[in-house]
Amino acid sequence: MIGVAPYLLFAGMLALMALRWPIWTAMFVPGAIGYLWLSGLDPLLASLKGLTFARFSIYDLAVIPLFLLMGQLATQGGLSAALFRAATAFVGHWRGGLAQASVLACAAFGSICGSSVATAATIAQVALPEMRRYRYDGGFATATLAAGGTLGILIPPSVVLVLYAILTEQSIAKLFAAALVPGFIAAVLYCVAIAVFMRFRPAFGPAEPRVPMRQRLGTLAAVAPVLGIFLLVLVGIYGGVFTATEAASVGALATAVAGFAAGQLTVRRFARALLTTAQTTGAIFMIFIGADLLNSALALSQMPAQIAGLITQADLPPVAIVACIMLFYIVLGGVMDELSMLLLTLPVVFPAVMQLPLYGLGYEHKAVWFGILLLTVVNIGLIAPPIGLNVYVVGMQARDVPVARTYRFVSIFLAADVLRLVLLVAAPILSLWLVRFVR
Amino acid sequence: MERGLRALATGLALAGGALLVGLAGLTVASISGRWLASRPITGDVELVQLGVATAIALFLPYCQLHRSHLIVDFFTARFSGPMQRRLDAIGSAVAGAVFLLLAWRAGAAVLDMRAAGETTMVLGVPLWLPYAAMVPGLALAGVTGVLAAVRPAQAAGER
Repeated sequence: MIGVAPYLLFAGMLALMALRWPIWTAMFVPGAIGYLWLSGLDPLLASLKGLTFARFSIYDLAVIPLFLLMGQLATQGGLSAALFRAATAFVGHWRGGLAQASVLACAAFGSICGSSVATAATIAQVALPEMRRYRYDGGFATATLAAGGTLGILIPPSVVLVLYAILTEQSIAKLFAAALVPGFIAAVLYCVAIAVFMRFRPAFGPAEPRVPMRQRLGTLAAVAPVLGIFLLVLVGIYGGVFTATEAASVGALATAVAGFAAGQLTVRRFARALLTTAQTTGAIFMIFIGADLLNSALALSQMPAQIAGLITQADLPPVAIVACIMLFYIVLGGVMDELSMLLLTLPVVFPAVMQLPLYGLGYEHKAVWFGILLLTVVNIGLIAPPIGLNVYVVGMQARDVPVARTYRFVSIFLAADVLRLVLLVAAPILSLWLVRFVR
Repeated sequence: MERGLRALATGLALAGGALLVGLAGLTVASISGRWLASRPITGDVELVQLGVATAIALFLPYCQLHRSHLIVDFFTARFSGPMQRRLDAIGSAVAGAVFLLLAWRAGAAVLDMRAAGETTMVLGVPLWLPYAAMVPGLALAGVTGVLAAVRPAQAAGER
């Protein structure tokens, strides 16, 4: 009996998700039923007493609302427009240059924003109208922004890495350091992908007029606060001066100050930033609650041990097992949102992977490297069909472009992502190189 | 009723947001104290924990009101509008019911904590207080969800 129960719970969750139940309830209700089934009503009611407060009051998780607030303040403070203007001034005259400028602006914005959805939506607001004005193909423009938005989580700070760090008890600072080089590679590969695509379809991304060098340098002044905040936050974290929560506090306040100083942030826009932060934070933390309950129900069953056994005893070379796990995540990411996916699977998959001998890496390096690999597959899940969250977020701002058309062009960027994933799996040094500089 | 609810939810979310900014300020003040005078604010970590938990709970009604909770709409995208709204009404009802359940359990925890007299480690804040701070947000989110299910047309314009 106990053998099938957890799989039924999992299937029930997927079915409820498909029926448009809010994802957190689609996890909570099967979780509650499983708990009831495996240990009874009184233990369930007792465990629900502390559930909310226990999850909301974890100190390390406080970085999530704070980094979200920082990103929202940057959005409302007009920093995204300044970034896009500067990027356009430098590369806008290339063929497909506006698309590359969007990618660069996303990368820069991602350096102060930890959410890919926020990055995609923010840069789309400034970049989409401009690309449409220069007669970029609609689907190409939306695909670029959906893919570029993933740089929000690839380049630290990153909500996904924070979550991974907490679930696996690793250092946030080391994970953020590890993500830098892969994030940079991602941005470069996206730009290369655009350039290659332009060779075949030049009409899809016409060039803008060239901007004189003096004017180009002028656009950099408005971008300086972003660079300053990024350095303040990251050097603080890497140097061991602040904890991640402290760095997020400093970053959020500094972003507010920069926005007010530039005259872009008004009281009304500040309030808007607070309310949007409230929405995203509430959504993320309820997913934690739902996943917590489903996880504790699953943990009561034999399922985690069964799956862990499957991974560690598979008759394959360890790297091939890791590749299979990545493939599994890419498929699962097609039907589940990435946050719930990690919350539900990591408690099982992580310990199993840590038992595999991989390139002779030590425990910590293995954990950090695997985190960066997961970040990459999460990023693929955010743009890959059928449920690419970023594609929908950008699509809301370009309702005339059918989602299917966006997906057609997303394939260009998916090719770049797969290439990056292969690189990262084959060469852990790309992820681990910077980690040793972290105090 | 709906207007009052909307104003209340927005007010609570703004209060939670202001609290979050305040906690960021407190943290920065504590870092500065640590750096300049080697004197951080005592119990800053604890205050952040209690404060952030309270802020998140205050966000929940607004979040429910604006249907910010993630849903998967891929499989139902082809369904008719009324059919989708019916499914969404069920989703809201379930969310509302679970929020009310959580509010009830948090309320029960308040009574337990008061009886046991538990306090936080550093500042000695009675633990029932932060548990009690969970209740209004959870309860109002529950009411919002149930109301949205009863009157789906009202909420249809919101997204």
